[in-house]
Amino acid sequence: MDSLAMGHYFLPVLQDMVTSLPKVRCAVLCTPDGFNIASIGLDEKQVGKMAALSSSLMAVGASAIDGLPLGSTEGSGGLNVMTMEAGGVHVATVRIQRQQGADLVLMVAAASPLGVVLHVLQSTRARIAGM
Amino acid sequence: MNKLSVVLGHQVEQQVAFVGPFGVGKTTALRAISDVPVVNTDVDSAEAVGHLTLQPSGKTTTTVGLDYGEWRFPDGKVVALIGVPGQDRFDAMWDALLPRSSAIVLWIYGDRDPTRLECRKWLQALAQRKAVARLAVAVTRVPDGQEQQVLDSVRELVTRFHPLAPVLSADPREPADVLQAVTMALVTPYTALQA
Amino acid sequence: MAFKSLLGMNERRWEWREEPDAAALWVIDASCLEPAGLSQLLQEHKKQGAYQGVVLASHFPAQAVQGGWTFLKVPLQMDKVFGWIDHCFPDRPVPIGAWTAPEQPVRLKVWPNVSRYNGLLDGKSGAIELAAACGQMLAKPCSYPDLRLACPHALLALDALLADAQQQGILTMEPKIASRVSGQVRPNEAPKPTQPPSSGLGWGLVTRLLSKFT
Repeated sequence: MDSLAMGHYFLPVLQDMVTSLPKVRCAVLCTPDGFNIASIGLDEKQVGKMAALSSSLMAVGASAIDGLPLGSTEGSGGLNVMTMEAGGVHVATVRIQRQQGADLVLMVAAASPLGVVLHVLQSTRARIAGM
Repeated sequence: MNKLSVVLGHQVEQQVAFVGPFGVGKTTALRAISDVPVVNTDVDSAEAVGHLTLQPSGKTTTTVGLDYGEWRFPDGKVVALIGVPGQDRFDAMWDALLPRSSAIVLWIYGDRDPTRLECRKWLQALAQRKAVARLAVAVTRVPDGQEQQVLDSVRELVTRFHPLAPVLSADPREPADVLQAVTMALVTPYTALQA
Repeated sequence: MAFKSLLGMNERRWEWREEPDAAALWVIDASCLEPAGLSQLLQEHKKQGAYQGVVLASHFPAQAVQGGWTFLKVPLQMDKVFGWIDHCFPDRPVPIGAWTAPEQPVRLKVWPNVSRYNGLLDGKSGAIELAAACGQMLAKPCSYPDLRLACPHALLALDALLADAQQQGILTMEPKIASRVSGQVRPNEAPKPTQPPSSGLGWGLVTRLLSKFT
């Protein structure tokens, strides 16, 4: 499936996520090496670099987690979710391992409380993982 | 919320990567050829002091994420131009970014590293990631009058990884030089060395 | 600028001086002058005997031609410049550096330092054309006319690069092949670059870049 077809395929799930998250600013679903599949809330000029940056954030974050002196059970499985905050807007990013198909990276930014953002993000991740 | 725009798929059909040691000019080279302002993740760097690479603003910086620029074409297609951080501690980025690149330009200093240790390290890292076939090596700051000698020494090393030795002297501020380095990486034939 | 770059390609060692009295050869860049202005300039710089010089101009008025000056038409051609230099120093046992167009197809063994010739280019597209031409020559033998057609903005640079490559021993002359197109390619039509087997995407992007920067 090419990126456009994948974009159509996953768009409904992304739209559901954006609908259920108050004060959402944008959402990006992209490949781990930084190519956009579907985004909401960004224009074409922004999409390329946001997809690249999202994937880079996850790559660097995963390295940071791997480098931490965590115990044998703590931190197992590597980076789960990366969060950032700026002026009350929470940005959370996850890597999604799919049962059938390549991994993806999902990022969402919203001015909702962090717990709400993470809850919606994780349930969306579970849906996409099964697709 | 319903007014949020939707973008599906990507118009980025290819990606060109600039790699190389700290301060060599990767960000500068991107800026010389990008159609859009280069997204830059430089931070202040304690490391820079030893390398005397003061920026015009007086700050010393290093790239810790990636630099991102683009070429845009009339049909809407986009080529991503990325600068990859040079220090070993960022090798996770290299794994993520290099395999998908259609062309890789390795920038190295011409006025230091006489034993070419740094260049060899980079070539080995690229070879491990199967990224040597579409490579060009751009040598900056070649001292006046030493072009032949410096380039020959770099060629001798590069030939061990790429028999046709795509090497050129280049100023990362000059768009013509940067474009040539990219063109070389895109079109160089390559024959794998016999094991 | 182009003249200085060509001097760099010549085997002799040169020093560029700004003071006329310190120079053995003079260069007057009259490429932006009208013929009347050129005549006046030459009157002002009239020297006989000790000095030899070259005037670079687009147009030569008949009355401007005076003893002691050689006129070279802009845009410059390497063989003309080198021919003038050899004429100025007939006793020097320096081989003539002028490039003679090869009749056989040529092939490169390794990449030359292409940026060395950027002072002779016409714009960024010239830079891309020159590198692309080298890529072709590394992949297979190329005829000189085809190379020139592929480098409309890098003709001077191409000649200089080929001359150096031959001297450095990295250029080979291949047996002549029957050319399918040498009589058929129209002057304005650049041949499509041959794509090496594993680099289709690479050549495609180069073609796009040529459109973008021309």
